Amino acid sequence: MKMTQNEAEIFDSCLESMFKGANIEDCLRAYPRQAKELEPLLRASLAIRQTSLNIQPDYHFKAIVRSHLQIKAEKMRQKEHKATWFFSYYKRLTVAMVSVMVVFLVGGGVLLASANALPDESLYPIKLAGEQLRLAVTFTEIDRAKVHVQFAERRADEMVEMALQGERDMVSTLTAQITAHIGSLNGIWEFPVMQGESANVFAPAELPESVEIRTSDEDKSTVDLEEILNQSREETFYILQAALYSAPEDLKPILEQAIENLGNDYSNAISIVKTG
Amino acid sequence: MSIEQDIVEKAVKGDRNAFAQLYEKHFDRIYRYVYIRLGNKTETEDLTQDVFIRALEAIGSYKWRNSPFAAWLYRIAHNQVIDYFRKHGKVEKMPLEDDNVLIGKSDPAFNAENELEIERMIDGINRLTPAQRDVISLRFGAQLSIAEAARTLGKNEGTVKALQYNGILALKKMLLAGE
Repeated sequence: MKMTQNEAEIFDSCLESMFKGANIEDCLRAYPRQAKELEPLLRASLAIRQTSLNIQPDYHFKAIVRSHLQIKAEKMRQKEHKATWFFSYYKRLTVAMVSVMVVFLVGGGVLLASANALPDESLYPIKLAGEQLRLAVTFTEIDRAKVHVQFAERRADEMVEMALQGERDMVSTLTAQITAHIGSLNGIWEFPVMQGESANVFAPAELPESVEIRTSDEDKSTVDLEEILNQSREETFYILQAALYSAPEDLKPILEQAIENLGNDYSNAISIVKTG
Repeated sequence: MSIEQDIVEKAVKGDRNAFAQLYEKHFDRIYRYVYIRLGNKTETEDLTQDVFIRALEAIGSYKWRNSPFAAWLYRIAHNQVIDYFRKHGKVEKMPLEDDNVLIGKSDPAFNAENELEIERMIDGINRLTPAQRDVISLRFGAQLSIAEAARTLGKNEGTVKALQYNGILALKKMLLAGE
């Protein structure tokens, strides 16, 4: 049976209705022309759904995991509490040092003011310089990796903002910076960048068909930027997936979150570029 | 803000009761998804526990950002499954253990029949293409919506619907052939 996109849509529409309580007959009546093909598929789907629901975890196992999680959460809370105490203990020392730090505050103030600067603003180079400084004084490998990921996420936020403002060149530049920051992880610990479907699981889908039929200069420019964004996203996710596989355990949640955050930012930027 | 979003926001801020609510809501579904992928009770239990520990460790850095919590959580599960197959050097096709994953074991004949159905279903799903397998296990095991499954897998919704259609078509043929 050759499937069309329309059949897949109709099938899913029926499936969703049935999952919400509708019966097969209702759906078949709604699509009489497709009823013959749909019926056996819908019946098979319901059987699979029911069989899946028969898979249930053992009650005791569920309780054990709940208990493990409670212990883990408590340990995390205690660790956080200790950190709070530590900072409280040294509070007075910090106050004593404030006068010394005042000297640096003027310069620091400018750095602080640049924190939210965008690439088209005058304080942006100061923001980048501040980031380089931070990288220079970050010594452990895990911390350096975290900083690179954080900066990649910053660039991605800026990329969306620049896309909204129609600053196409800056969007393109920022994609390169995102990939560069994520690529830096491979300099911190070596990992093979994988090929194949499992590595590509979060990579974007193929370029839309509309790429080939746009002809005007403006449209070509849009397609070019879309291509750049898609390629950058693909490259970034290849590296992140490879990094995730061999990363230290502490770093894995951060990399997973980065996949999520960067994915959203790339999708948003592509969507903005497409709609002009 | 939806009820779930409110609970997630609280969990992100360290509210343990909120996290417990998310645990209760998603535990069985995560377990089902992992079991369909691994077909092995002991390893499913280990991996399901790992998913929630990972989620607990990472929940503080979760941001809603237009992405549903389910997609975030099932992506952790999906990555854990991929990791599992990589680390164990196994192909994603395993013999089923002779262990009972059914609840309500009062009727042995009924349970045996259901066990057989589960075994046939998982065997069928294991014969699908990897992309179809991902979609079917997320849609039917984890009960994710098309949008959530698409987010979890980083694919667009149209692709996921097509994979679902072709996956069910293939499964139907396999299940009929096995009768």
